[in-house]
This record gives sequence, structure tokens and C-alpha cells, in this order.
Amino acid sequence: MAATCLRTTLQVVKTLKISDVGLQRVPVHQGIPRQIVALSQLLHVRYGSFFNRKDSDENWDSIRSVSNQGRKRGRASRGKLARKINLDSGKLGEGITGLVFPGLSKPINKDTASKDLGVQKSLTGPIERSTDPKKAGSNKRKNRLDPYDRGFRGDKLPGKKVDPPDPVDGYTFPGFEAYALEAKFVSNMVASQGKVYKHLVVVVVGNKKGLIGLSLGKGTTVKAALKSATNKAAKQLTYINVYNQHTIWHKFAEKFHQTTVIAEPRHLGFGKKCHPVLNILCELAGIKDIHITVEGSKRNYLNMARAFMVGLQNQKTHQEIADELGQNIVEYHVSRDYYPVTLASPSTDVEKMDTPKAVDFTLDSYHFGNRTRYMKPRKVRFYQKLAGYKKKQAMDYKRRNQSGAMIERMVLGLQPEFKTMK
Amino acid sequence: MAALRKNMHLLKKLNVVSSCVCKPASLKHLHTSAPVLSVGDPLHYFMRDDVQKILEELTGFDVKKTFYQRAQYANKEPNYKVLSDVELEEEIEKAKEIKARRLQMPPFMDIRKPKDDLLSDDPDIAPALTSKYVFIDISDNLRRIPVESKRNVVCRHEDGKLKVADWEQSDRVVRMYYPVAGRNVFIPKMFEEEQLEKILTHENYIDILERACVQFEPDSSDFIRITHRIYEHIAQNGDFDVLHCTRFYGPMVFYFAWFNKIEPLLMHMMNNDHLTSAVHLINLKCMLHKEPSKSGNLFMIIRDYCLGKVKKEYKKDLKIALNDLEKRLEIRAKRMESEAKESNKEKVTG
Repeated sequence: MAATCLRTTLQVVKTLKISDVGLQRVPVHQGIPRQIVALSQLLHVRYGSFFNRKDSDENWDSIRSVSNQGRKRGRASRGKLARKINLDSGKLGEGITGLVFPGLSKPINKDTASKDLGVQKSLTGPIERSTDPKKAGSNKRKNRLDPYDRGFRGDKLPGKKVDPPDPVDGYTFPGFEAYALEAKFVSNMVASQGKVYKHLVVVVVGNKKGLIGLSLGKGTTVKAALKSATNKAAKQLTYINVYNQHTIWHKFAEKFHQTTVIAEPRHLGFGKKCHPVLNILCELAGIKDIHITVEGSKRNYLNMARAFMVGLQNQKTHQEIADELGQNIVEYHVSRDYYPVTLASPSTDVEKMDTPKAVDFTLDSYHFGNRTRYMKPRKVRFYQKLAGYKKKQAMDYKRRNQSGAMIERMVLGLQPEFKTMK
Repeated sequence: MAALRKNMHLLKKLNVVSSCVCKPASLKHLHTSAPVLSVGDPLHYFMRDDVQKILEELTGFDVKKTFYQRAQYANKEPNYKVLSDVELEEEIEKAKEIKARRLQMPPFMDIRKPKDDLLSDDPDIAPALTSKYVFIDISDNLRRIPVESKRNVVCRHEDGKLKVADWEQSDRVVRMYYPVAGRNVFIPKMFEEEQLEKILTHENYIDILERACVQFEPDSSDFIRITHRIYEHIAQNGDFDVLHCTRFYGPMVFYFAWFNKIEPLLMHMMNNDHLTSAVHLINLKCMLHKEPSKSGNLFMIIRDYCLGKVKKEYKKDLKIALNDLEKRLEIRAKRMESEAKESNKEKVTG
């Protein structure tokens, strides 16, 4: 009787299964109360009422259940019910060392009963943990994406790579990639149905060699919306001229509704310094080095992408600028000691202009529509005026070359020991 | 003192390109020591007008190659200007100076004579001396001291002898008192023979030469050792095009002509159909070795040289190169003839 009671309690509380052999009944003597000895283990027994007799699920239902009437009134919705707690979560298992605790971490069998039932090592040895971080650990970790594929919205769609477009008339779009920029839930009022909800997705398609397409699609599911958006984008491809296969031809500023995009070309190896949406656009167009600032509304990704696309399409080559102005385009660089290099001169059928230009004329102001860009002065922080900061600056100025000089000394053998500067 | 600072500023500006100034004004003071080779002083030949003219023609000019990208300015953005034709001509006229400076050849000199003159001997003061004392003339006299390396440096030894400091000492002291951007007081490790061998690749030739120009005087033994080793390495691998259109091409050609090793360069020119430069090279060699220079048909001059007195190692290769060149010239001549005929026909029919 007591043994069955123990078994049920353990099942309820810890969900352990204990075979009969594992339990031994001590013969009853007069004057001595009944004892249960689980083979050198004294177990705590709780004499209770219903929870000893009932199943664990039934026990849980007693707290979690709501009547049908109550369910209709919303007493079961929005997390009002008590949560079922997994009591197995803290269960003893095989650790890294592979120790076995019969009766706790393993069921007690016939073989183990005859032998020592104390702590013993498993025959298989320690468990081998896989080094692959994706496979090890809980389910959450399994689904974790690589940082480069994660996008810019956590585990949501924006910024993630999606399936490439479907073939059109036998053309399979080789080398094309598609990215989702925006995904949201939109609604529309219809007379017969009332509010009708739909998914809206903005997708860019490109081949990293100058062809790029932008479009948006709607659908009842996200998958349907993505498919329509990618296929539409693939049919609206435009060619973008990339300067020296790494950057844009010149500076430009483009406004679309409330969003202004200001882009500047940069040297080889600079990288892309821009908004994550424009980063994807640049990558798909084949632009590697660029500096972009976005002013105005930064919430509407579609408008931002459109502004940038329009700016890219309106670029002029050096030859076109020279033809338009009727003068030569000349490049100066420090590396060449400012030796003038003519990039383009007006073609023969164009009228050459020898009239003097306006005093404040520069090529940048020409690209910005006769305006000059206002560069905000850097803010002086409050602590920069304090005496302590100036003192630190002075100390830093003193030591500015010491780390390099120390390495040079060590190379030349003048300072054999490595001593960190204080 | 202010004048000195001004002077130093000018020097630094020049030294962004190089310290090896090779202009007639400073050349007067750069006389070399007695000839090591039997032919004579190489600088005397190097600075001759006819030789300079040939070297300049051989060097050539190409914007991309002459103004090669320097690593320290790789992260700078270019400026753009819009200029009319008249303005552009003015700009190019101004830029001639830049081009000349960028193509300024470092002089080809002999190793300077070791200095070991005893000025005075005072053994009486020897007990008071615990170490050597080096004295340098830091006066600001441009007439007496036109170049920093011409400063008087003397050394009082521990035995009481006052001597003129040797080149190593005097160079180090001058480097310490008159710092120049890019010039180290201690010679960098990369110029040691072991380390130099490791970095000798065709991408590094120009960088090593540029740095050597800043670090050393053109007649110092280190400069001569490094440059000659690089020229030899180039000749071995046939990377002559790397230095073409740069300021090091002239001295390299002069080196091959001076030491009578022009064959690899000549073969390279023949394979690339540079006939005029090949003839220039042959004439330069004749000039330096006091042989009569040749004139007439370009191909004939080259053929005469290849079939004449040449080193045994190159005889086979030269003959093969000559035959290939002859075939190519014949094919070209035939094509020209046929084209001329066709154009004539068109004229007649038209």
C-alpha cells in the first residue's frame, strides 16, 4: 500500500517510474511502525488526498480549467489562465562526467537491483557534446541565423534574403538575388466584408553588376506577397552605371516626398557607410564604396529606396558633364602631387565655352543644384572645457608616438625587454 | 635661427619626393672619389648632356605609371575642377615642374672615399676622457654647407686623437641634428642583406628604392649596394616594365650599360618591338665604353650588335629573339603593302 503510494507521488511530483523489485518491504514487528526502505534510500512520502490519486494532467486541469461559459466571456483568453510548469526541467540527467543515479536519473532495473545501487558511472562514458553551436543547446539556438543573414529587424523579415524571382519566358535570372526591405500588415475597408487584412512586402532584386529592380507586393499570406513582389521587381529592372566598378560617378542629393538622400563617392576600400536599406541596394547594384546620409523621414523604407534609385539613374558620366558645360573635367590627387589629369574634354560637335564661370562655381555645387552642402560643426561636449580633460590631452600628446617608437626600439635591439608604457 | 628653420622647411618639402637632389647647382659639391672602375668616374658620364637626353627618352612618360599611387595617400579623395582649354593649358604649364620633380633621376655615383684624417694628437688630455666626443658644425652658412652631408663632423677619441669622423658616425649625427621626414636615425632593418632578400618582389621595387633615396646619400655604400641588388633582381626576372616611366628607370639602364650587362634588357626591348629604344641603349653603351656610336637603319644596328661581340651566355637567346623580330617585321611590311594597294584601288574606283 505504502509502496504504491510512494510510486504515485513520485510519478506525480517527479514523474519517476520505480519498479517493484526496487522496493523492499521490511517485515513488521510489534511495536515498530511501518517503514519503507528504497534500498539504502529513505524517501520522503507525503500523505495527501486527491493529488496522490490523480494523474498529473488531471491535477493541472484543476487549476487551469475554465468552464465553457467562462471561456465565452473571455476568462481563458489573453494569458489569464495559469501556466503549466514543466516539473521535469530540473530533473537530474547524465552530466558531462556521465554519472548515473539509479532511482533518480535512471529507472531501477533487475540488474542494477542485485548489484550496488549507489552512484555508478555509465558504461558509455561521458557524452560527447557536438562542437557545432547550431546543433547544441535548446531549440531556440537551432533556429539562430548567421549574423550576415539576419537582416536588420531581429528575427523578422526586413533585411533578409528571400527566394530569387521565377523565370520569365525561359530566362532564369542567373546570378540574381532578392532581399526583403519592409513587411507589414495593412487593411482595407470593403462594403461586403468590412475590414480586409493583407500582407505588404517591399522587395529589391539585383545581380551585383548594375541591374536592380524595386517593387512591392500584397497577398493574404506573407509567402504570396513575397512571390508577387519579387516577380514584379524582376520585370522592372534598370541599369545603373557604376564608376570604376566600385563607386558612384559624383555626389548627388535626391528628395522623394519627405526623404532626402545625399550620396558621395569614396576611394577603393572605404566600404559602405549608409542606412541598412541603402546598404542592400548598393550591394545588389554592385557599389562597394560609398558614403550616404539620409535626412528627413527615415521610417518609410520604400521612399528612401526610391529616392536613392532616382539619384543613381540621374547620374552623369564625366563626358556628359563636359559636353553640357563645354569645358574640361580635370582631376587632382595628392598622390600625384596635384598633377592635372583630364578625365573628359568636350566632344568635337559641342560648342566650347570660354566664358568665365561664376565665382562660387564648383563641380559639387553643380551636382547639388547650385547649392552648397551645410556641414554641421562638431559639438563641443561639456567635459571638453574642463581642466582635467585638457590635462589628459596634454599627457596623451606627450605619449602620442611612444608605442610606435618602442616597437621600433625593440626591432633595432635597443630595448630588449618588453615594457608597457604607463 | 629663423633662417635655419626656414631652410629646413624647404628641405622637408623637397624630401617628400626624395633627398637625392640632382641639379647642377648642388652637383658641384657632389664630386665623387677617385674612380674604382678603369673607365672613369660614373657621375661624370651620367651627368653628360647627351647621356641625360638618352636616359630621359628611354624613361618616357605615362600619367598612371609616373604618378603611381603611394600608400600613404591611398585613403584620400581626389578634387575635381572644370576648366576651359586656355585654363587647362596654363595648368599643364604650371605642372611641368611637378613632372620634372617626379622624374628626377637619383645620381649614379661611385662609393665615397673613407675619411680618416688626423687633425691633432693630444695624449695629455686622454686621462680626462671617458668616452668619444663628436662635434658637428651647425652654423647656418649656405655657401659653405650647401648639402647636409657636407657638414664638418669631427670626433675626439679616447686616446686623445682628434680625427675627422668616419661616414657612419657623421651620417648618424647629421640625421640626429637635421631630421627629415621619413629618414630614420638608425638604418631600418629592411636594408640589411638578409631582410632585403625576403622583400624583393616586383611589387616592392619602387617602395624600396624610394625609401632608400630618402634614407641614404647617393654615394653611400648602402645605397649603391641596395640599388645594384634590385637592378640585378629585375634583370633576372625580366621585370623591366615595373620601373618604366619612373625616375629609377634611367639609373637602371645606366647601370646595365656601365657594367656591360645590357643583353637581357635588349632582348626585352626586341621582344616588345621597341626598336628605337634598343638602338638608344646600344648607343649609350658605346658612349660609355668609348666606342663610335652607330646610325642608320634601326634593324641593321641591332643585328650588327647581336651578331658581334656578345657574351657567350646570351648568344643563343639573342639569335632567337633576332629571328623572331625579323619575321614579325616581314609580316608587318607585307600587310602594309597590301593595305596600301587596297587604298590605291579604292582611290581609283572612287
